[in-house]
Amino acid sequence: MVPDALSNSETLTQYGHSDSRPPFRNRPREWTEDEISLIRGPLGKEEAARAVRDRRWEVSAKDQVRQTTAGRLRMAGFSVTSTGTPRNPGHVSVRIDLEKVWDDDACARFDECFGN
Amino acid sequence: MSDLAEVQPGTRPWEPARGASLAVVLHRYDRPLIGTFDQHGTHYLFRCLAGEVERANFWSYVRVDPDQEAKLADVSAELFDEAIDEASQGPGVLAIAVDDRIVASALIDDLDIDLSPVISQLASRGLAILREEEAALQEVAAAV
Repeated sequence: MVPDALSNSETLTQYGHSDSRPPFRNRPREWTEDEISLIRGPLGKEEAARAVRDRRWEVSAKDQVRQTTAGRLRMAGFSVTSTGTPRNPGHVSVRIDLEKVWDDDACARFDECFGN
Repeated sequence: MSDLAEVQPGTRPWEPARGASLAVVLHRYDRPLIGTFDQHGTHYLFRCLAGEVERANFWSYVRVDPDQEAKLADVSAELFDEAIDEASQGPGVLAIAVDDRIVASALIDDLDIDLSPVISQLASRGLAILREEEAALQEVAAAV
């Protein structure tokens, strides 16, 4: 699948769940991940849950979404690329430059991208 | 060639045994959620059934042939779930994982049935194993 270029103005959605700690991930899981996933477009919680969860999942008030843009993430030092999969063509990968570490400061910068 | 994937405790759900290697990722969100892995030259489909964004999650494993695997990689997003359901039938393995490591697994005669009783049993087994690990850690910590 050839990745599409993501313009800086494109809205991206992060899906989360209020039972998770934290509800929205702000760093990859140590040892097993090197990126955080987002979804292209301004998705509501039902659309986002459908894009991530098994189709048997029943959406509730615990499903949550927050939004940012590709440009805000890039300005904060993250790389943002379209990495669609057969199940979710709108999948987006957010990574940090190889020479940098996804430390507490990076977590704070990532979260700030979703603020007003 | 075995119909059933070998699933070992302590391994990643998308590479669920030593020597298994991730082949194709068909769906991901932070972690691979649906895809295939190679084990002794045979490909198996892994699928997260629940817990996609949580620390604990349930996974199913079933053998796929090359034609099925190619079809899953090419199918449109609209038809993807239907194709995955179709591929996830027959004998397989069900597993519970916590923090991206398999904790317990069970062989299933047919994955296309109501799995809730097996999932419930696996959850209980997983919890018992984690409690044993916690007790072992406390024992070591107390001895230091």
